[in-house]
Amino acid sequence: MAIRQHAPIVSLLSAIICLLLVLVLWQRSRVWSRIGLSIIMLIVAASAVMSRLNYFEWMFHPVDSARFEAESVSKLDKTEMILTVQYGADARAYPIREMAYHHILNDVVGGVPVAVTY
Amino acid sequence: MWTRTVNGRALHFYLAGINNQNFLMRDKETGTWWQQITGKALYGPLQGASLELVPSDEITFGEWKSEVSDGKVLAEVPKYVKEYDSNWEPDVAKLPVVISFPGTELKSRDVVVGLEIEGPARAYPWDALVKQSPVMDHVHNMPLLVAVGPDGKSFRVFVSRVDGKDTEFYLKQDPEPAAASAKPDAPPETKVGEEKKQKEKQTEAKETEKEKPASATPSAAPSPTPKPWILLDTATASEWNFQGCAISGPSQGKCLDRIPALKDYWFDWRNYHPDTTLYKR
Repeated sequence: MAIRQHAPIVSLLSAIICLLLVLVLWQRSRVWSRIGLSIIMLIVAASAVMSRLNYFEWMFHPVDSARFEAESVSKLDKTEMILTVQYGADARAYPIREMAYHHILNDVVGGVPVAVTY
Repeated sequence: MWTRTVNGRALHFYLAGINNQNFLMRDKETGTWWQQITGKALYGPLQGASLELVPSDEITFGEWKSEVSDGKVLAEVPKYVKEYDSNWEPDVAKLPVVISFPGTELKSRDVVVGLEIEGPARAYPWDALVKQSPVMDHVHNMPLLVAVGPDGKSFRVFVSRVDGKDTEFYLKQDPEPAAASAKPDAPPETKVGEEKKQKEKQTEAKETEKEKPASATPSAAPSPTPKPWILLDTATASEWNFQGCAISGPSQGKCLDRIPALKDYWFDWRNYHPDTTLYKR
């Protein structure tokens, strides 16, 4: 967990150090060494980039802004499973077919901030 | 479903890790890591905090429509429509399972309805629930009514107490079959048949419900209206609907307290509730 937490800064520093070393060594290197240095630089740079990206959100895109439609116009089949919640007069349904993909949705229902998860 | 407010601040969560059928999430405000299934903060500035569970249901759209008015449904996000899998249930069921509990009576991907009453947890195998609903049970001294709805897919768990008194619930056997008007001589036969069937064990309630139309009115037109799903309680003989509210009788207007329950795979429920008991009948 601690490694994960510090990955962005560590990988960035490693990338900078690596870049400096590569630049220093480049002048004195022959073709094969330069290829080797390039490969190492690529790997380190990729790590620095990847530690800043959330690949889980690549696989399962989050809902940027949730849109809702009235139940009367919804084309959902009556046998479709949904997660439901109600606060006051605000009754909302989240089709499991969608939540099984997005996994998480931040919403506000009847003034109450909720996290719908599946 | 969880509330997002911690220490008076509404957090915004995003997906940060996947673990079998559960996931880890982080909040944008503090970067704390939270476990989806327990709502607990595992690591980070808010470590040790817990999210509050939101009362919610896992039911069919049809059931929900019959219960609410002016409900709002999450619309599909157009650019991800291709990702939504209509067959998510059978497709997920095919995924390999890394944890298993040999020696337990269920298979890893058997579906259960799990609940927890102040510590002790119990799992109800889905197939058994559908056949035996309504199921009366006691967990940690709390009397429970575990019910599968009229659609055979929605489920709810209630505290089986009316006015502080423990009570039992039975599925009402309607003595008026829907197609009775088509055959004038049918009603007396079905009434007698009904009384006989009411004395049978509760576990056969569902089967007799299905058998009745076929034997009582063999040449009648197909039954146009489904019989209403009604429970009767032994304490006040009131009629109750699937929302756990009494629609007639001395208890009319009262509603049973709900217990949060989760429909889950056995391996997942057992993984997070190692001491769970299993409902057996």
